[in-house]
Amino acid sequence: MIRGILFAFLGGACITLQGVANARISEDIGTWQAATVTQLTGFVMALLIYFFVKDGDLGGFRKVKPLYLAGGAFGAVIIYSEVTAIQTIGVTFTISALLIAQLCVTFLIDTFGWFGRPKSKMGAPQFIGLALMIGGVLVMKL
Amino acid sequence: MYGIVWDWKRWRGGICTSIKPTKKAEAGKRQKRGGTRMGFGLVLAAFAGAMVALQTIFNNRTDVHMGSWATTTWVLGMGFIASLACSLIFEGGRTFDLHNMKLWYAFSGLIGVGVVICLVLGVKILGPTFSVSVTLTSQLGFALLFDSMGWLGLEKVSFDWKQLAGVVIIVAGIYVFKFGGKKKTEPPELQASAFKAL
Repeated sequence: MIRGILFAFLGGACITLQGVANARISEDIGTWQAATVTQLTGFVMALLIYFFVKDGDLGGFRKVKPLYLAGGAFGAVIIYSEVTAIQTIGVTFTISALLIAQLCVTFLIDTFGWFGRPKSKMGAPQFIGLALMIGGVLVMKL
Repeated sequence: MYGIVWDWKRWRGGICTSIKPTKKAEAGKRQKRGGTRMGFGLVLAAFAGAMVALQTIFNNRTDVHMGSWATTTWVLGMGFIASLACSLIFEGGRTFDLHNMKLWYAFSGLIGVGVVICLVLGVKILGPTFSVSVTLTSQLGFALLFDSMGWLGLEKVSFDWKQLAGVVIIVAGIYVFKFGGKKKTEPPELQASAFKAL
């Protein structure tokens, strides 16, 4: 249990660290270049781990719809937008707005059952949660 | 810090000096500029979030057939190709002008691999709802920390109680959102994966 919390916590720290590191690197070599470099090393490392643990099957991509396979390419615009946002409004505002939009879009997709997701009803707690989060950003802007 | 923003600032500066505005008009303009910048940044961040949501769902579809590490490899490979293409289109030859590159930049990509390991293990041990809530909380907490410490050469934003209060409210919202009853049935065998998580 504690170990799980620790992993989840570290994971979150690393996500933020990744954004900040990308912003830092972008200053020196440019934002698209930063996205290129970091994803290249990440790719090489993930490939090594894949060969090492051999879970799953890289050849399985033939069974996946091309649209879904292309999702990885979003990484380029995600990094570019995140880095530019961090440089413009700081880390806290960026991460807050990013998370809210992320939860909203996920929720929208789940509500309508797009992309083959199981449909789920939007309940009062989710609306209250989103309202609280947006309220939080407004408080920061006071 | 000074990519797009810097160019833009300079551009505005050029306009300002050419029409020689009064001090008052200058201040008003600056305030307006501050507002526009905030809006611009928020829209970009929200766009990134929307793309993350889409990508997570697409990755999740890939994950079903390929497993966590093959998917991670695929996603980062695609991201690399797309970034390289954008870099060539928008930066041209400057893409390979890496003389400012420091050695650690090359290794920062490993952070992303660390993210996948942590998320997979977190979800495996805690289940997605609790694990994701902890991850989101930690993301926001570290964002505040990075801003107020100015680590990694970021422009230091002085610590501000409003920001802390805002983060606390957002975190409360996350827990209400995640733990408030949602009518949804997920096949349990697919949950122990990073791409299911966020």
